[in-house]
Amino acid sequence: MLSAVEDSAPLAGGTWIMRRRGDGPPPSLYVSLQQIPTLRNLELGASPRFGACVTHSSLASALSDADELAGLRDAAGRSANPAVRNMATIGGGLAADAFPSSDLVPALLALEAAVETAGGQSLPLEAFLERRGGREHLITAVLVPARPARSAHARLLLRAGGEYPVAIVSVVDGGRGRLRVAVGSVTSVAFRWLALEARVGADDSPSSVAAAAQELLPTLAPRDDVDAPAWYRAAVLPTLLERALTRLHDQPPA
Amino acid sequence: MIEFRLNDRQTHVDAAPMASLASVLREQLALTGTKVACGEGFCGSCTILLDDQPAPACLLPVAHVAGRAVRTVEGLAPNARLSPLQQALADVDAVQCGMCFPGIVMSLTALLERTPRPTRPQVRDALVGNICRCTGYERVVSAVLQLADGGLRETGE
Repeated sequence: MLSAVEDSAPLAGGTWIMRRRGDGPPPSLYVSLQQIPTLRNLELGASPRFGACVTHSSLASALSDADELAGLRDAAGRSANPAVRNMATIGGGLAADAFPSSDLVPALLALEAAVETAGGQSLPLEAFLERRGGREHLITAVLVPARPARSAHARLLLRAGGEYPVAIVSVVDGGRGRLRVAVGSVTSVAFRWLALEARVGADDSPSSVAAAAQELLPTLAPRDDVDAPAWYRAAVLPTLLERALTRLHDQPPA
Repeated sequence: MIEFRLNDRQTHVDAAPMASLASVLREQLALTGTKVACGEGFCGSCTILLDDQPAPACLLPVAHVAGRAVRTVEGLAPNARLSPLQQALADVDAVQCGMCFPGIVMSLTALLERTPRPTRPQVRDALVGNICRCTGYERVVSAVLQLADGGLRETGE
């Protein structure tokens, strides 16, 4: 139906589309994905696969015992507020344009996740984020290639009232001292901080990583909006990284 | 025609599928207990229960409730008898201007059904999406904890 009707669009949980943000006229037809059970499948093996219509709250509860995925669990279980988490889906969040403060995106970037689209193709999340906006991709699932040793997620709220975080940091211990870092809400699109990973090398102590991040701050292009000015989003980043890494090191490696 | 259960009764409405459940409840079904303030899923004043889970009715396309069970604040007090939670909130005078309160009551109803004896952090977490601009949350939280502890009477009688 999506391909048959020109200018139609998929509808998952609705929490983004119902706000009718963005430019331009709405699509001529929304096609609800709600009655497609396979899109709600969750597979938690060595390479987890999450259907596109899995909600944030289902994802968080499915990961309740998966401590090595604590970063993704916190991203899903603490984003927005309980009512929105019951409706908002993984795929809907990835497809939402101009949504820099998604919690799931940095958590999935740090896990080197891939996005599977209808037709069975999959592409790395970074590549998907660059090409987002076209209607050619119906997301069917998100794939995590391998479970990490440990992971953690830290988000900075100004009021702790369910608002968007000013900055988000997701860190993953990929095993054998390989630290992966992703940042959300600071720039217009969440990013994997490869320059920081390269600079810290094997020294992933919270203070060393925070110091390295401080040196790299001038290379970022932070964003301004009503919640916080650009300089502030960048200024809090080293401290938030330190928090995320402290949380990471508090966990025993899987 | 969209059919669903509303406060334990089979209901059908003729509405545009992308109309929000909040607008359909208020404008077509005359259930104005569900408030609409921000219309963006931030404030929680439109919180209803969808299959027993809190959901923001302002962001819920009415087509998505077809075949499901919706509960609104009006459904909590059939025959004008308050639920134990409502009574507890009334007893400690926790109710303020009334704009956020139906949403607060729905969020807490879901919490207590799932977790009859919640901890203070669990109560606060359940209220993350319910914004009050009158005075605050402390009396609300205390009322829930007292109720869960059996400290307040069990029914509205």
